[in-house]
Amino acid sequence: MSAPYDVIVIGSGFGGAVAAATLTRAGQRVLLLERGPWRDTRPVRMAGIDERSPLPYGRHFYTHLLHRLATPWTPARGWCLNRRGLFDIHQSSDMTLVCANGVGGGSHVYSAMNTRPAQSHYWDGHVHGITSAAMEEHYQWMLRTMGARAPQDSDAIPNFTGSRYAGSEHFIADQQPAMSVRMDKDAADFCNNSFFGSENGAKATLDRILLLPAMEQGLEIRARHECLSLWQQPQGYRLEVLDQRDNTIRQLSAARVVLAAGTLNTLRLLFRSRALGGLRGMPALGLGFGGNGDVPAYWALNEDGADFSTGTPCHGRFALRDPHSGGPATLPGCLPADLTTYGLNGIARIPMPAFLRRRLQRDLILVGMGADNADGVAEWHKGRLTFRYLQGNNPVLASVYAHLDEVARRSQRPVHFRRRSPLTVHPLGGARLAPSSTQGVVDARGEVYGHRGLFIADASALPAAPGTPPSMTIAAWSRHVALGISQADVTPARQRSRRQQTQQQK
Amino acid sequence: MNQQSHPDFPASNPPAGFSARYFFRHRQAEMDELFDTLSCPADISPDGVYRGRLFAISAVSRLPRPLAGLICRLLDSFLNPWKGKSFGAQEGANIWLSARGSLSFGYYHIRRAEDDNGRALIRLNYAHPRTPRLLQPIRGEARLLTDGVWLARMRWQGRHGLKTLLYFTLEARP
Ligand SMILES: Cc1cc2nc3c(=O)[nH]c(=O)nc-3n(C[C@H](O)[C@H](O)[C@H](O)COP(=O)(O)OP(=O)(O)OC[C@H]3O[C@@H](n4cnc5c(N)ncnc54)[C@H](O)[C@@H]3O)c2cc1C
Repeated sequence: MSAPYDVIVIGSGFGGAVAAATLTRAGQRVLLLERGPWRDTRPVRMAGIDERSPLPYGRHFYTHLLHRLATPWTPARGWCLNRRGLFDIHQSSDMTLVCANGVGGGSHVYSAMNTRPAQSHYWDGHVHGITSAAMEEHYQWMLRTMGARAPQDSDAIPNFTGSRYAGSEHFIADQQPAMSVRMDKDAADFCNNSFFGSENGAKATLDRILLLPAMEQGLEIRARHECLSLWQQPQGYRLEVLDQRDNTIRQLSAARVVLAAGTLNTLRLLFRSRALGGLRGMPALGLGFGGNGDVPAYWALNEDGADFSTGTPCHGRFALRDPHSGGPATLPGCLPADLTTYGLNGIARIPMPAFLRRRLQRDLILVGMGADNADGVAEWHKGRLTFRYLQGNNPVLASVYAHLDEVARRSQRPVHFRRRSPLTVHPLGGARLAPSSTQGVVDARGEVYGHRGLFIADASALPAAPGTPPSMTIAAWSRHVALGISQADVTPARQRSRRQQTQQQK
Repeated sequence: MNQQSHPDFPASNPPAGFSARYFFRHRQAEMDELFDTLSCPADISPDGVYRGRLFAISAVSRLPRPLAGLICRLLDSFLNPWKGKSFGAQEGANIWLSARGSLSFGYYHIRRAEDDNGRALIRLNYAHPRTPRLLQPIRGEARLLTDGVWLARMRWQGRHGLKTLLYFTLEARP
């Protein structure tokens, strides 16, 4: 079996895109497999990618919104509604997970908030060799690459939280997260750029920022190629891959594999491969799963004359205002909660009755989050992936609920959310970084214990909840893993064989 | 069952969650590609009674995947009298009706061989005195899939060469 690639990367979200681009830049021959399609956006069109799938706007909303839906009542893998759909929804009894499908992964649907973890010492104390200070350069690289910056009043962004709560007696919005969205005062950039993707490229997505440039340096991307299972072999790994274009299963192999299919699908791949006998061991697989304390809520403001569906994908961060000091406040007896608001951005292009659209434009989505204990467990039984997560073990959720209730009280408008079973757009852990194979799945280099050459570079490897949106933390981890792989690879023998190959190609 | 262990495949029993059903929707060409990637470690040989499960059958494999999967599930039920194979040092037989191996029919010689590309496999040759003449053109080929599981294919030696008829897994019984 010939292996024409040094590394195969599975998945093209924040973990996969960063790993693939970093490894390619380091001179490795990289193949990236992505189960979803290229999205039909202006930058992708201009790059000459012919096979594209629409974002769920217009009539495509009803056909291209969902990729896969799994509930306790569907077959184990759920129903695949459309292989080109944008979202996966995986409902388990204790938690519902949402993630994306397509080249660029979560960057198409995310709200473009580029943040560091809530705790500045997030990376300290987990394993020998990784510190927050050392990871800082990776955060800086990623923030620079994304072109992220915090919005200002002077950017004249519609519905910007920073301006909106300037004189409010109830709320304060003095610290805004960096966002990777064009802020050039062009109205076209401030609509249809959020959960359903950004067709005109106003939001920085990973296909445009990292993958297309890396392709010019030799990265090969195979969209619509879904990895089904991994098999450890004497010289690396064999991957069973479904080519969705002709519905054929193919075998690929490489000495090194970087797994970055997102928490839900990386766990699925690891569990399935272990059940089949392709991988073995990993006694701590599934431990340390969490939802980053996410609590999405619907804030039925119904504000006269408002159109909250425009602006940056996230309008910004805010907090309760302390009536005495005038500064931000955490409710007594509660843990801190990160609060952000969003309009129903994109509904202008979703077919629906006009009265309904007008109503929805006057409401907000509110997301509270905080670092939970990431002590849930992902389990695999007869091909079904389930998540056990005890709310009682995670007091941050009660704190977020209390803050959302307080927002409702102060605004005198209802805030609706699910208290029984949380929904997360930030699933993480389950294949976490830990000092030993009994506590976690990957070591300080991101390599799976007992599996030489198999690395995990996505949110499933995070050792704890960042308590803020995690994309930059995932990217920082992935860059750390990828640089480690490329540095380990610079042996004299390897350099020699590289030179020979280049000469042969010439 | 005393299959030896191998450093890359340390245990001799199938993984707890292994199910050949995973392959029921695979097409024969896909199994060919998979078979080509497998190896046949020199220090491991099948030994004893193995449970067999059929899939990627020539004609069936051209049907839509769900239908092919359904047929393979039927063949995996009690309706199919073939239960697997038993292996000795140099010869073996198919076992019928009961997975314990009490009823044997269809004997073959076992030997290590190489495919056209010089890659090792285990060949089962039905040109055996206890096998009816009609079945003697059958050739079996097997390689190790994972701990305690062999992936094998049944082929027919015709005048124009070997033709693959179907694939099956052979799982060691714990
Ligand atoms: C609505 C929403 C808003 C968000 N907003 C923010 C935000 O503002 N800031 C922030 O930091 N985070 C945000 N997030 C979270 C962020 O998007 C995720 O944390 C991040 O994308 C996770 O990165 P990842 O690499 O782990 O996985 P993903 O980005 O999910 O990438 C995984 C990729 O792998 C592919 N894949 C899956 N299985 C396979 C397979 N078997 N074979 C091949 N490919 C496969 C998937 O299609 C996907 O493209 C948001 C998420 C959502 C859903």
